[in-house]
Amino acid sequence: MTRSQTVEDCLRRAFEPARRGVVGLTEQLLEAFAGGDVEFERVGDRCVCRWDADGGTQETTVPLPPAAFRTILARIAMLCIERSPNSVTPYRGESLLTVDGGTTKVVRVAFVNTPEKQQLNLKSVSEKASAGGGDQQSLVESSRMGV
Amino acid sequence: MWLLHGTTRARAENIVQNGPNLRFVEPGGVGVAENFSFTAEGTPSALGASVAYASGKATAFPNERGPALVVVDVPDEVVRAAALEHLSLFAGLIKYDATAETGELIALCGGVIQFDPGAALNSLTATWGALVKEIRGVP
Repeated sequence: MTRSQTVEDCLRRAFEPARRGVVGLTEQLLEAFAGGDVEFERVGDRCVCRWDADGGTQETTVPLPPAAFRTILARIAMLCIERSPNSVTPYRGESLLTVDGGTTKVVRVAFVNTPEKQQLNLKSVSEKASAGGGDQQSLVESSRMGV
Repeated sequence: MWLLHGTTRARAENIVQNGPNLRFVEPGGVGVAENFSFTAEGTPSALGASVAYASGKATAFPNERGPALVVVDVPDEVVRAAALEHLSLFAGLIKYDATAETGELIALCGGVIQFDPGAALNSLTATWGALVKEIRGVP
């Protein structure tokens, strides 16, 4: 992801009001940024999104309150655990998830969800690299297993 | 409504005795808990089962006598208030009907009843001593 406008479009899609609660909001976030490389981090009482562009790191505040961010991180941890038990803990970890947002994409997620730090990294995975993954679980499939 | 909170046995005993503590800091940590979460007994959670959280805590803190569940019977109106307060913290990112049934509100929260600072938590802590509660071991 290299253009600020593209990130802004993704942010708009990610943070549209969701009808399906935490599960739906998490899906929106992953689907919006599938194919892009971004980082979300709590900084004080706000959440920022960072991405690389024009040879530097860009940053913007996103409309995600800390309590909401922590809940989304908990949902992402659960998606990883549903894909592969013990692959992550509720507090930190890294895994691959398949996101079905029109076209299926594989996303590498890395997260920390502790009282001290809350952070989420989303990175695109090339088709060649993801072909060997084999056991990524569909996000849609995971959602059906949830609430 | 019977609610479950997964933790270590040492912390479970403290919670049962003194109630939830949002200022709690884990050994070796610096950040406070900020909120206190439960799952509803018999209801699936999209954020993970309380048993799994208990096991994770016990693994991370092996000197705290293993995993345990705090099980407490919380009045439905307090649970409902917690769900509504938690949804309000999403600042409009989640659409919900405040008149919906409590179960629907909890589902929107991912199956978790989270007490953030506010009226629901105040109500929970004010009546904590009178609530029926127990500690359950985790196999």
